[in-house]
Amino acid sequence: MAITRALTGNQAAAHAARLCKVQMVGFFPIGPSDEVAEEIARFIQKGQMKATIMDLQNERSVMNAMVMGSESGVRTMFATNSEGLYFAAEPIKAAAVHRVPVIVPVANRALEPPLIVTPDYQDTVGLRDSFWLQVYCENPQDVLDTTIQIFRIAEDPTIRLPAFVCFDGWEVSHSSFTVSLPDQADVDAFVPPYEREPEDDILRLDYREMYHGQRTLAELGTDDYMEQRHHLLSAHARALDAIEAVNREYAALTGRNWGGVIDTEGIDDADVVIVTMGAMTSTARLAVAALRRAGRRVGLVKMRAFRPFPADRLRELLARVPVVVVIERDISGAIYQELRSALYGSIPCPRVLGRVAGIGGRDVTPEDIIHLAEEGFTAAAGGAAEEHRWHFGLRGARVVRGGR
Amino acid sequence: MSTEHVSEQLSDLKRAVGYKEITVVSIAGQGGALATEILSAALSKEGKFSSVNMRTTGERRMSPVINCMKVADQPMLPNSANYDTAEMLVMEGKLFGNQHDWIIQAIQSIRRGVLMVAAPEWPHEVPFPYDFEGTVATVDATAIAEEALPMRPAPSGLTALGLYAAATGAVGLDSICGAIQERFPGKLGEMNANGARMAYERTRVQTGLSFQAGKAKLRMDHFELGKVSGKPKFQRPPLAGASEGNPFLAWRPRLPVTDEANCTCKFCITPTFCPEAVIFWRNGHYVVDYEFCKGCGICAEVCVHQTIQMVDSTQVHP
Repeated sequence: MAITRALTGNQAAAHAARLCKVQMVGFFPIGPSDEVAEEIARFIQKGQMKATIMDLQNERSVMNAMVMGSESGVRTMFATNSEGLYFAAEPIKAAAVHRVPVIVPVANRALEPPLIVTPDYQDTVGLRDSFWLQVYCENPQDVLDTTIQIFRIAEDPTIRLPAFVCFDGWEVSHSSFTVSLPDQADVDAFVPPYEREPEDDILRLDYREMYHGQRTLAELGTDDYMEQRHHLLSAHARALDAIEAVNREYAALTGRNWGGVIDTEGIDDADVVIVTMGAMTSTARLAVAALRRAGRRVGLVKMRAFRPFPADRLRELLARVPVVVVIERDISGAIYQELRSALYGSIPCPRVLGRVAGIGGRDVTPEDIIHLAEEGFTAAAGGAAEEHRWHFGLRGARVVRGGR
Repeated sequence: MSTEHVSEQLSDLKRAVGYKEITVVSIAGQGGALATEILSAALSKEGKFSSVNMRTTGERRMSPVINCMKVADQPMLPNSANYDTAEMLVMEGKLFGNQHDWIIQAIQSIRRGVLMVAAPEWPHEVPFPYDFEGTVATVDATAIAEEALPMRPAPSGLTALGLYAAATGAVGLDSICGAIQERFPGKLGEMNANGARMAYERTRVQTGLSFQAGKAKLRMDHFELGKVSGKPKFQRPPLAGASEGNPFLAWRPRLPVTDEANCTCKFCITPTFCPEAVIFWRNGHYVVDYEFCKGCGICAEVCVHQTIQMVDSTQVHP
């Protein structure tokens, strides 16, 4: 029997770890993500979960331990964010190459300096070239469902990649939401045990020793380096299909569907499509409903998977749309860049407007989304619209001090 | 097609789904976030959907916390802050004096509706600093929490839910107590549910009250928290938290004191080692900026001549 409780995003991630029987849990204090391990510690204390918590000197040590643990065949999870992620950069880049399915829930938090705890996605978006999978969640129910799914996807023997499960720090990680928890039996059937074979040693160390009598360090550059990296691209291509398939299966099991690689609403007849990611999507859904009631032909695309980037799917769905407005919560403007790149050369091709919003926790309201959609409609009608700009917000807009 | 037209549609849509904004403003540790969680569980028992956006101003101690909850008959709820609050629960009267932008914006987000304050004042005495018209309700939730719970300080968040149920009638007391006891089975849940019931019975509600901006008589202590967490940026926090009689706030139990008469070094190394860079030599005198000193004791450790002593911070008067 599914149980319903009010859970925060962090609690949802912890419940997913419990249901998926994670064995090794990393911990290092950093808000807003570290609560995940605290919650897991309570489960362990109450006998509801058997796992070891590894709390080491810093995030780099912890991430290293996760990579090594996962390599030895243990299911691992470590929740961290922003400063902690960047502290762990060295083992993060290694994890993908080692093909270990470490799961890292990230309660996204803006990057310092100055001291800031409020959210934006620059921390994980800034790691987009790490070859990790990246999925973004709208609310705590989505966090629970997506984390359960990601164990299955990451551990798929043909994929074997580490993954970030991302959700807005404080706004989702600490915010209550009614969450339905699936049965343990259903999750056991959905997520098979993690097994790792010696053949999974991608770097084929034993092979080299055996056949060439060469004792080499795993990290020494070899003639295979370029091929080894190329393998990761094929794994990403397979991940796109797996994300879709696993989502369909999970939706059939639970009745909840947060989208495969992307979720869409009303794009078939849209003049303007808003593309967004994360919790802002919930805000955008309300804005889109109001615009539709006002007679505006507007649609919505939610980026659920950011890595791998679903270029083909987006091109297929958006080629015929007159105007696309990307509203994203990262400083890089990554979704704008990558969408335009995916659309380049398609005939027809939409006009893509890029808007960066909500940086450093700046609030994004339904009115902001409506305002930005209206800029899209102006463009669709042949009027002038800026290609790319930062939207500081209709409420509490700050004056940017000149000269700094 | 005008933007006003779309705004009207947004308002109509909100009305059609019974959309309401509830804002809970509290100090970290009081139980405001927990109260919001229990409230959302209780509302869910009654068939409502809710979503909360938690905002914190990020201070290391006593950070004000704003829980922006949205409730409706269906789950499509935005993730933004609250700008049109219908029901506001303020867990601490001192928050009215707080000068942080986000807190001011949150408190100003209610102009009509139900204003609830966990404080000993009567409703008409509430020092609400902005324009407001509607129902005001108060109860001394802290005092009731101290009756109901053994720990000190007694977190008053769940007790204050009794105030919410009594003032708004928007959720049943039974749903609240049920949600509390589901979340905390056993004695802890019973005690907190009991606190909520006592608060429900003792809440004083006054309808048809109005306040005017600028007329509130804010006391000096209303601005104490403003000093901790408001503008201008650098305000002196209490020198030693433990001296406020609250062990949970204890930090900097010891601070460095230097006897300059013993200083003989040509070049003092303590400014280099201080992780907060609060040590200076000014006009030949050794100065510690106690506003930022965190009492780590590194200066005392590295001082070659043991000139610096770490003493009880309640004895230090900068």
